[in-house]
Amino acid sequence: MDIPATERLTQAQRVALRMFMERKTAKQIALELGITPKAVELRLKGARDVFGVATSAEAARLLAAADRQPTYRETLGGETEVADTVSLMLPIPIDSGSGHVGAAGDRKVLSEARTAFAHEPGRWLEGFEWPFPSKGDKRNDLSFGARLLWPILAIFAIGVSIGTLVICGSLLALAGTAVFRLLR
Amino acid sequence: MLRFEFFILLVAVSCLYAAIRGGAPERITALLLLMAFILSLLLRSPHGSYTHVEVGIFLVDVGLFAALYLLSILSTRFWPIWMSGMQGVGVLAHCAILAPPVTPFAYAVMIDFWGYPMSVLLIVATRRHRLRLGRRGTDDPWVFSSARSGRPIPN
Repeated sequence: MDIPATERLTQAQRVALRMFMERKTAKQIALELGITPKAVELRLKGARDVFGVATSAEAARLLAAADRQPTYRETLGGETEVADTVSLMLPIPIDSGSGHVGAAGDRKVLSEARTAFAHEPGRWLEGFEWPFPSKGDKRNDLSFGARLLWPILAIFAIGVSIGTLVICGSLLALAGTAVFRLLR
Repeated sequence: MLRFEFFILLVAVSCLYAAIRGGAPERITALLLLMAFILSLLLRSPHGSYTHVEVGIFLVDVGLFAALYLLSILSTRFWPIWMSGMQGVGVLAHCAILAPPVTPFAYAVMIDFWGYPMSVLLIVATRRHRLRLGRRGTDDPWVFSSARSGRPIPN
């Protein structure tokens, strides 16, 4: 019985693929991991070989797809025939961009894989476009719609908070005056 | 009058810091804030008592809001979203004076207040830009300049 490809990946290869998925360049991954860009490319190449695919984007997609099925093995109690079959089926219907060679196809595959990551069970809020820098991504890559919407929502958020503060402040002042009068 | 001098100092420090050390969005904002500040001073009605809408300041505020809104759409920073939010509340304050219960004092406070947090935000934004620059070596200013800075990974 073959070990599924995702389990033959080394930890280092997984990390490199996940960072590649976050649209980081080899140089950026290298900087963050404290290794050379060459080493990053070697890890990505290793991962491509494990999956037997030509592009890192495709490898990242396969890893993302496998990650969507995280607990089959555990729930079915170890390595069973069924578990292997299921984990190899990769049940997301994805057009892997076959026929498209190069950047356009890659981009499509990448965006599909990103969606797969974003919709992991229990982590659904990760797909939500918050207007703050997050730990992984300090750059504002919000979609055009989110960019149009957030400043307007910010006006209301700030306006409501200030309004609440003012109201609470005046209520406190009123209460304070009343208590002061009572005590006198 | 001390409060006004403190405000001038804060605006001057934040705009100078952003203009010298900031990236493109920080520099543009420094210029915008400075221009809005000077124009508001010039267009303020001479014996303004904040009992009716200050049309000059209102126009400046709307212009500044539009510019910040555009900046939050185009730049790779998150802070313009919040700065345009603050400015938007300032613009709304002008509309609020039309409703009777708002006192001239509240109106004055609401339109003059936002300069403080916006100046502080600009300083923080410029500092964070320097940190990113130090850590990564680059800090793309605009969403349309490139998908990501640096060289794409060869497949």
